[in-house]
Amino acid sequence: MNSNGADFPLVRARGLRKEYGSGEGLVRAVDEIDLDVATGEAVAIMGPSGCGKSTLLHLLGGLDRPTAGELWLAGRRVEKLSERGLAQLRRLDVGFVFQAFHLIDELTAQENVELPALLAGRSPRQARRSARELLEQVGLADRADHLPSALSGGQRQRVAVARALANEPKLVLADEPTGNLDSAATLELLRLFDALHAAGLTLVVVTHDERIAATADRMISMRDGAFVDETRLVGGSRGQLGSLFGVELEV
Amino acid sequence: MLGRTLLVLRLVAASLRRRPVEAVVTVVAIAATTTTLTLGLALHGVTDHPYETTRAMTSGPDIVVMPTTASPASGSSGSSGPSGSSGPSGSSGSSGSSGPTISGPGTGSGSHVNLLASLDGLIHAPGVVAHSGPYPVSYPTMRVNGSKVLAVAEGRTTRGAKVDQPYVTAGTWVRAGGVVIERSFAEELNIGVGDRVTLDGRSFPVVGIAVTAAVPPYPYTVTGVAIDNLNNVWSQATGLIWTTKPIARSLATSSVPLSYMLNLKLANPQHASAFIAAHSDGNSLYFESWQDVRRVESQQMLPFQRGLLIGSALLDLLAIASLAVIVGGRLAERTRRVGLLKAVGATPRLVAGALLFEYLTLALLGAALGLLVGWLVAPLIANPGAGLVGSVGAPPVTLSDVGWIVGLAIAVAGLAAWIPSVRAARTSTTSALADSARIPKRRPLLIEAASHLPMQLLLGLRLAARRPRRMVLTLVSVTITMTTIVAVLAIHAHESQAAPIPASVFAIPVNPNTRNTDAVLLVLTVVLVFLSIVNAVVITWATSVDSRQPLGIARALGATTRQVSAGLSTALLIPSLPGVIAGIPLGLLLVKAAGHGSNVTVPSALWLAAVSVGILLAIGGLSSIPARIQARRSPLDALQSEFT
Ligand SMILES: Nc1ncnc2c1ncn2[C@@H]1O[C@H](COP(=O)(O)OP(=O)(O)O)[C@@H](O)[C@H]1O
Ligand SMILES: [Mg+2]
Repeated sequence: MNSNGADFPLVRARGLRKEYGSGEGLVRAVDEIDLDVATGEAVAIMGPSGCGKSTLLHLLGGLDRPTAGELWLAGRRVEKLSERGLAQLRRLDVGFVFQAFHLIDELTAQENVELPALLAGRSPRQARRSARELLEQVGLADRADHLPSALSGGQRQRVAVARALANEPKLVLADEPTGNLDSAATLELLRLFDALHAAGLTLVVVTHDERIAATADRMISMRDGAFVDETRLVGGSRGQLGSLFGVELEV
Repeated sequence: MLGRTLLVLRLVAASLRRRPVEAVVTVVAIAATTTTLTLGLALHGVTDHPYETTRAMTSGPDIVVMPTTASPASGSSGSSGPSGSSGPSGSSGSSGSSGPTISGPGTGSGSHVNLLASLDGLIHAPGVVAHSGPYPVSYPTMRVNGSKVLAVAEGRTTRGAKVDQPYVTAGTWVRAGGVVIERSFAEELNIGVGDRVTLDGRSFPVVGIAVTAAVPPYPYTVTGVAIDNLNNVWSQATGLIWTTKPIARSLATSSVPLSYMLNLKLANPQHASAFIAAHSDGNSLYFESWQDVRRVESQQMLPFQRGLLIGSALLDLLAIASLAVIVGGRLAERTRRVGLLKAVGATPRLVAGALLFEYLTLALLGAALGLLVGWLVAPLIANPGAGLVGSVGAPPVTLSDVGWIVGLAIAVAGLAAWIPSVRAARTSTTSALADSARIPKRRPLLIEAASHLPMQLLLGLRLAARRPRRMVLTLVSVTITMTTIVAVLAIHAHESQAAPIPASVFAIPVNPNTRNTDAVLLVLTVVLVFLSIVNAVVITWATSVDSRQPLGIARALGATTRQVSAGLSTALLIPSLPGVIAGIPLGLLLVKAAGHGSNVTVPSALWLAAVSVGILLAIGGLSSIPARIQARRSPLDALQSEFT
């Protein structure tokens, strides 16, 4: 495997393509995309609605299979994996945060966060302990026993973030995580991502929000399934975010 | 108005197109319920109809009169044979006499002239509007198919009679030299048209099979008959045959002399008892009213009736369970749909209207389908006792049944649409959209204890516990299924335990209706088990559809197919297990209740265990199907379908 090279990126995509439909109705949602994401890097992807951002993210996270192209995650060829292999990838290597939260309605916040750890075969005791810590980390320790329906949007999204982190994934993928949130909740989530980034987590965030994008190391613009522009943001996020909002960020 | 109607139609069409499986399952469930109810109603009506039908079709007499031959032996017939355990006797109650007794030599040769004169007097008694007979009656010993039985041979003309003209179900009516056998008698002895029977050593061809309402079917055609008491040879089982008058006369012997049978029709059939009371002077004549015959018949059909009673109770229960599943299943989903429509500005009435219209369409379709199936199957199980004309004349599914069933289907559709509408109207639009799970005030012990369980069990348990309504529905449904199967097993166990036929000179049927009951039970069992399976499929399907979102999320988080299907199976098996356990005593109780407290034969533990495990395996297996189907698609499908 090539994963031993220090310069080999955590994510590498070459000629990645995803098509929906056929003939007249053929849609190239993702069209020949090349992408490298280094370990510890935060990448923001922006673009108009329908340009293929979600599709790309789903491919990166093993939620969907590409029509063509090659994809490596942590040195493993993703598009060649079996269903089982994909499930394992989602379980251990990737954490997903969705715009619509996708928490399980029947499970409490705590239980939602426990779920990935339990799926990975950790003991209920272990899962519970780490879920407690994660909820504390996202500031929801006192909401642990609430069902999602009893939480605000921002709280739900923070539970989702905690859940995404449950198995200490190598990569966190967030698809418009603030799309359903008001500005106060957006700010809180921003802080959270910033802290995670600072702690060395690799992040790929799809967003419409300039402020979120501004916290990334790199900002990619997408249109019609392809990358059209790429901006490397100097100095990363930490300094900028504080100046943007005029607040001190605790890490 | 037109615009709104169009909108409703469009909503319904869209809903049906988007959820074709739900539409199909709803139709199937309502069809199953309708079939169930059709059969239930057909069973309810079966035991009263046949006698009336037979009576009408055969111009049944109101009173049958037979001379008795008073003799010292008649009194002792009860102690010389097991007459104490005899079948139902309609004779003694109303007439005060002990029935015609054919007894030992030296008796019965009395005055024929007197006998016929007293019968003649009855024909002209006030209140009598028609009569047939008196017909000569003899009691030959009949041998057929290796059995020896006592026959009551009634001599008839080849022409029809005004009163009591038996209805021929096979072959023809009496012809010179041939005999016609009463249907229950023929069935018991396996006699068909074209067979030959031997009467007191002489062979006769069987030219027909017929039914009558004048006397009860075999083996209680004539009660309390004793022959040759001195030698303790007796038979209580008598069956009726018809032959020509000369043959009937020729079969009389000195030890069993000729007797007569007179059929009377009264101006008012309800006066039969009064007529008998007025004319039974002493005990030279034996009277039997049509009510007596009806009572004997219905008592004779008791075990049969009991089976039907249990069967129809089970059918009713299953119907209730199906209805609960139809109305209660997918309630969360429907409430969310109502909330969604309200969110885009539809008035509650419009939303309710669309939902109602959708369910009405499905319900009527299902009802039509179910009625058709019920109508086809009903004759199989509602075919009454062999001695009766039964289904020949009476349609097992009546028009009022159809009315009831269609009405019920409409009510079910209304309820299935109304409850979510009310729920959505009562709650705010947003919470209807969410239709949240319920969290118990305290973490239940069960969940606490479950933290030591494997992950799949834990997930299943949590999913199940947060949907208490669904749990109760599953529990009830499985309980009813198990109750049904246990009851059927208990009945079969009882049947197979029937006492062996005692060795006797004359063949005595212990349970003349066993064959009948078995056939009916078989059909009932098949129907009940089939409906139970439909029920189990529907409940499993409803649960799995409602679990699509959590299981889709679990897959997005990296759960394997096996983990997902195990989680779903667990969510279903948790309420199923107590249902299966509860079904065992409930099934036995039901049989006991229907049997009026008589002993219930408990099926073998092996059977019970096999059925319990079978049901649980079936539910577990069924629930893995949707999980497997889902696993073949992308986990995104499940996630996105919730929000598009
Ligand atoms: N399951 C699907 N079937 C068909 N077309 C799809 C599907 N998912 C997405 N698309 C199409 O692919 C394109 C990209 O969609 P998406 O990745 O969701 O865009 P974005 O997230 O950037 O808004 C759109 O044109 C969308 O209509
Ligand atoms: Mg998107």
